[in-house]
Amino acid sequence: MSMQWRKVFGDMRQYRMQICLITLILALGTASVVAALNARAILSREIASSFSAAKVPDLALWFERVTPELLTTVAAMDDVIAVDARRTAYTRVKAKDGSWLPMRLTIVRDFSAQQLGQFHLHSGTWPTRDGGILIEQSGQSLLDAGLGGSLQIRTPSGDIATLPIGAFVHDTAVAPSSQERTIYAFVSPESAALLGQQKSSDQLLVKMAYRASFASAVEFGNDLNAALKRRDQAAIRVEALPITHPHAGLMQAMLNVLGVLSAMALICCSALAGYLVAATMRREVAQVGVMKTLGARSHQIAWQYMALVTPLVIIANAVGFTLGMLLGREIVASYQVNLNIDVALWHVPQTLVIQEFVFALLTPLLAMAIPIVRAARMTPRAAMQNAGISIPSARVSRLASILIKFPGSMVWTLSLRNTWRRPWRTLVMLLALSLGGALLLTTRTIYESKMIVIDNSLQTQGHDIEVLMQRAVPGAQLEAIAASVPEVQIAEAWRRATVSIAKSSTTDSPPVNENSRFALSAYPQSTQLFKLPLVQGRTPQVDSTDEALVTRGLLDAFPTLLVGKVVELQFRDRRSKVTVVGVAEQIGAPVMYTNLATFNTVTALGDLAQALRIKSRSPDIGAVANSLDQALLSARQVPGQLITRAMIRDSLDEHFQVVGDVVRMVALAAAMVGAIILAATTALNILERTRETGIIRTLGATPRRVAAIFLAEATGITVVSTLLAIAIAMPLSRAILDVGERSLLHVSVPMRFSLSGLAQLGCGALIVVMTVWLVTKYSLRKSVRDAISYE
Amino acid sequence: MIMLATTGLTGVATTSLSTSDSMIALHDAEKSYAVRGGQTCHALRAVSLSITAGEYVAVLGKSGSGKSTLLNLIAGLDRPSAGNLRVAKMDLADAGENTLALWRGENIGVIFQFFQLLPTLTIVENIILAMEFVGKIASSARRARALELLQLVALADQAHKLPSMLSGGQQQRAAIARALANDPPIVLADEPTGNLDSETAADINALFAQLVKQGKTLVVVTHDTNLAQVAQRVIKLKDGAVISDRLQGVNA
Repeated sequence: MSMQWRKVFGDMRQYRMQICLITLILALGTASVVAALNARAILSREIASSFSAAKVPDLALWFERVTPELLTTVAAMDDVIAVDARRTAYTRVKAKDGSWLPMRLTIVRDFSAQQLGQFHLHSGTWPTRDGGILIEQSGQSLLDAGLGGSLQIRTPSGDIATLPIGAFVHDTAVAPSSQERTIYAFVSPESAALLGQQKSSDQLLVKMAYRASFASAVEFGNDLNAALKRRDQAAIRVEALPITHPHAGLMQAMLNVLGVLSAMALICCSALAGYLVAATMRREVAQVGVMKTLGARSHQIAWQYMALVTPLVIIANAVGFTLGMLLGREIVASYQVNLNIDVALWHVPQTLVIQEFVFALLTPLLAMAIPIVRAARMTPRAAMQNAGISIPSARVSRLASILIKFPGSMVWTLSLRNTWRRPWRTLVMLLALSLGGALLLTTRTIYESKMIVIDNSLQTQGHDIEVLMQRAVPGAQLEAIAASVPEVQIAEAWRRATVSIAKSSTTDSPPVNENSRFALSAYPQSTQLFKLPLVQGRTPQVDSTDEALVTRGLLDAFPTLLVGKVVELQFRDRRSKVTVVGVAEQIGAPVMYTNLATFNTVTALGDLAQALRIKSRSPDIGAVANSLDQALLSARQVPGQLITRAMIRDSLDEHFQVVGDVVRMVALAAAMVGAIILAATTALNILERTRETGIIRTLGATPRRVAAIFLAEATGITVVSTLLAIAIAMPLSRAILDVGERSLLHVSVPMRFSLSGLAQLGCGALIVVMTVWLVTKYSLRKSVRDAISYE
Repeated sequence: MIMLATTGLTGVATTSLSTSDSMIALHDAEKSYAVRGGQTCHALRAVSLSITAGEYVAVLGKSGSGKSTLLNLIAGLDRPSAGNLRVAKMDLADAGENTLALWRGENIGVIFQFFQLLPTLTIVENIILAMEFVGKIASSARRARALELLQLVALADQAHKLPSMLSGGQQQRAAIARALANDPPIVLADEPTGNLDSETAADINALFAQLVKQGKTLVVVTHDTNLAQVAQRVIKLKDGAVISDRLQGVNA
């Protein structure tokens, strides 16, 4: 064995602790990169394939009844590649907590011969035609029954029907029930009849041969309906459907988050590896000088040390890849549940594996090569005279000696100046810590700001419970039923209809699609519950017959609906003009509000009310909702949906939580990277300044005083990072809130800086400082004599 | 020639030590280290000596003779493996780490071969730092005293420069000024001229002579015969034992 290799093995023995640490860190870094990139690759592919496997239709056409002849006719039309007939009904099901959850019931002719909107078995087997109800698997946690168990479901007449769960299915085109607070169920026509629902289909789902865009689907729907009209088979309504998952934005955000995570892992991995090798090389420079004096050339020395670190990288890669692949699968499994997707294939593309391998091999090698090459290129004189104490660059030192003068104490001046001995290292630490902190603060601030706005908005909307009736009922009758419930303080029967903007009114509204339809809601003459905050204009006059108030959400969807604008509304075949007189803020779907007279002008529905809004006397809104439900059922008036303020809040909360959890993960990762770098750097600083520490102790500084110097450095960095984190978090939160304000909530979202986030950040900072203190304490065990003679 | 007078400076009471006081006393002091292979290295073997206040002692010996170990023991940087060690009225064998640190700052000024000034602090700040650690000098008087000390070592005009901007001789003079920051009765120097040219070494020599005149007890470990010649007493070590301890004429 050559002497050079003997030196390599000798160094391995000498630096065994550092070598183990470097290998461990590299393995963890590699595992993180591999896990994040693998998960991203699998999810990108599987999200798309999972959604396309559901064969989501391009169009939905509504008829009074879909006959086999109609089905054949549409199937035979040009550019139609698949059709399927269904009926969708909305009812309620008894949940685990005793409440009645909304249930979307889809009546399917034949489970095993689905053409479009496909779902597949999750557990159990396809039941016989009247063999029970199929439940979308994400709703299982909300229900009180498993496979074979029974569910209590409301019938249209208000009775309770009991059906066994035939199977759990997976519908990858819907968001998870736990987030939507809605149970998705599927039944055969026979089972539908047992639930009091109609057996026949009223909906035709159509898949186009080629869909270029949403507009092309709209155009195709119009052409299709025109063709059906010529055969006297026109649809009541045609709707172009979006072919993206309801949570497509969320999914993309999560994929981006994984990208950020892998970048973080890279920073962590390479920076730490570089640091540790730099620390080792700092101790080796004197030997480098000796070897050079003996005739060694720079490349020989560089190769010698590369031979020391390369096996570590290979071992770390082997461990990291295995760990990363397992971790990646766990991430995918977790996302599979959160996004309600199917992951059919778990393999990672081969090209990605090669890229990951090259990346995981080269990045740490490059990071470690820098200090090695730097040391190898030192002149023998410089290397041998290196005292192990890093002298700051003259420019930085001069600047620091001018700028940093801590009044009253030279100890703190020393600490702060030492912080800038390694400006780049300090900047990396500051960056990692402040970004991590900023992400954490931003997440908390956004979450709290939004939830406060949601709470305030729900509070100001006046009502605690909204009941959407299955059938329209005379308003006075509804109010009388509700008033009989003792805890009901105010009951108002509201009118509700779905309208669209007539084509001639605006140029930005497509003729036939769901996006052009919105709710028209009318409040009673003497309403006490219509309390939306106005942002512009006024509320409609009491005696007006053509005035309307729009929510900001509606204005955002139709930017031409400005105050003063006359708009032509279409309700079925009826067209009427109304004037927009004001804009109000409200969370939720876009709504146009009018008084009863205007509503009648638009719809001619008379006194029939579809909604009941309730203000509760009791704080137990859930109990009041149950009492109201019973009262309505007793009066043979069946509620379609019963929505409490808490249900809306929970649903919104769940949506924010999913994104928030992911961002918090990133924040935690960033803060951890910063903390690890800070701890590692402090350890490195202490190592570098061992002799200097000995000098300070010789001058009379107690170990506690020396620890205080290092601690002050770490505290300084932590405090600056915290301030930077706050400075970054403020505009970042505001910018994200602005996006949320425009695209999600449609109400003003004043920023409320999160004190709990700040407290969490404070705790994190404390942990970082404690970690540094422990590292310092451990490192100061060296005696003064050993410290002074340290090389 | 630089004239040195550390007593009577700002914030310092005059050091009044009788020359007959025993400032450093070692009795059968031993120091041994465990080395690889389970063997023991005896750096000092049963050394007994007494140095009185105001004495100027040069310690000579070859490399590995135990000179630096002796200095480390006297400075409280290391503890004896056996025997007694009393320096400036403190029994060093039993003192705790914190007690030793404060005692050292107050009673011992250490001068190193490689100066060992803190690179991020200016010269004057290096001296003030030493005063801060001990707290003997009132905080309001520290800067003035530091500047006076620098004046004494002819470095007043360099006070606000970083160590890296000074020559080796200037750095060593600054290190001497720092060693005197708390007006310690004992000054220990480890090869103080080992890294300097002969002219600068002569300046340092003169400074040491002035220190002794001020009543400081000075122990210098050196190979420099010029430095040893001006000492009142020369102790020679070999293999960790004192082989010669003689007084000589003072030529300061």
